Amino acid sequence: MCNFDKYLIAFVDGELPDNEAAAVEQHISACDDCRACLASYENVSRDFAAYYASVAQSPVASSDSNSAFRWVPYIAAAAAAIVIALILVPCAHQTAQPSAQLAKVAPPAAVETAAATTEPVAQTPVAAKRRAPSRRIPQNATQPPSEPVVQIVIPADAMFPPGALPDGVVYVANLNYANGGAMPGYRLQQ
Amino acid sequence: MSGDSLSLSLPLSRFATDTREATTLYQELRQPLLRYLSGLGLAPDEAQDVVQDTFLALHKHLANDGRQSNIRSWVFRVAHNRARNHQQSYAQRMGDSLDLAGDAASGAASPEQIALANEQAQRLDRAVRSLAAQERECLMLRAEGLRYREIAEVLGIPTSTVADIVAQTIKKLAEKCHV
Repeated sequence: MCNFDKYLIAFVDGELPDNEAAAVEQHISACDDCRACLASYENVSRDFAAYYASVAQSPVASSDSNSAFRWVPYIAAAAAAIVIALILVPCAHQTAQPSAQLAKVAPPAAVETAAATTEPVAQTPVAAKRRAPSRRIPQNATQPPSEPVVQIVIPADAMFPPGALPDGVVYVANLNYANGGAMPGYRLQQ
Repeated sequence: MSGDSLSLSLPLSRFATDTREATTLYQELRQPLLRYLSGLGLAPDEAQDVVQDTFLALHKHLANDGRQSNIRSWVFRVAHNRARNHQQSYAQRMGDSLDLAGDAASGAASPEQIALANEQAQRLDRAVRSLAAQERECLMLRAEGLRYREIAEVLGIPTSTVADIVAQTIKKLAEKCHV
């Protein structure tokens, strides 16, 4: 057995630097022993791969493709929220009334909340101070004015895997960020 | 959910990108992970649990601005370490789940070929079962297409050690199976 034998498997795996790989390649073209070893290593690598791949045919790997979405917990939570939102949002539209007890504040351009965009309502200064400027505001959001909220339109396909949501339905996510950028909560609506 | 200051500088687009990235990774790596965990000897439900735990960890990792140069090896490493939590079943079943002897001959045509394929499969099966756990893990990860550097990250050992283990294990199997 020549000295090149120890490099053969790394050579098969493409793990050698270019200069060493070139040296091995040149050597095996002239060394019958190393060529035979190389063939043997390739064979046993292929056999092991087939042997190992048989595990993939077990019920483990082929079972329940629907579980593909179970790892994202907020998807399940969001799905429930969607159902609730679809039920509750129309009711909220019907019952929402501007409050006469709230003080006048700056126009919605300065404090962009969904509640401020739909009605020329007043807001308490405290509530206004607690709101941070938002970038994009949905037109039909129904977030209560007293709750600090950022409402940002997010395309459904950016949030969910393909097929997770019904076709032709666009959702808006209302995101409440806690201090320090903790995990947001989602409320999706149609 | 409450909080007075709203950190819009937290890049939502990145969150969406990471979510999409995590979903893509899940679709790409779920089967290889299940295969690897089965190879480690985990029962089907255990393997499913570990995969889900692993991707929950990945989601949190990405959400917390965690960056990793190689997500694939990160995911395999987390899954590998979590599989260790099932140490009892892992130790009991390690080597039992890799069983090809009954399937190897299915493609052979003649009785002689079937007998030969069965014999070769049984020889390989015995050889694989005789390997040390780390030797088998290296070969399984290698069969999944991981580079030596990635295998080293998964198993927490030096890359040079992976190279040595792979080389000696392949030689060992070659001697036992192709003599």
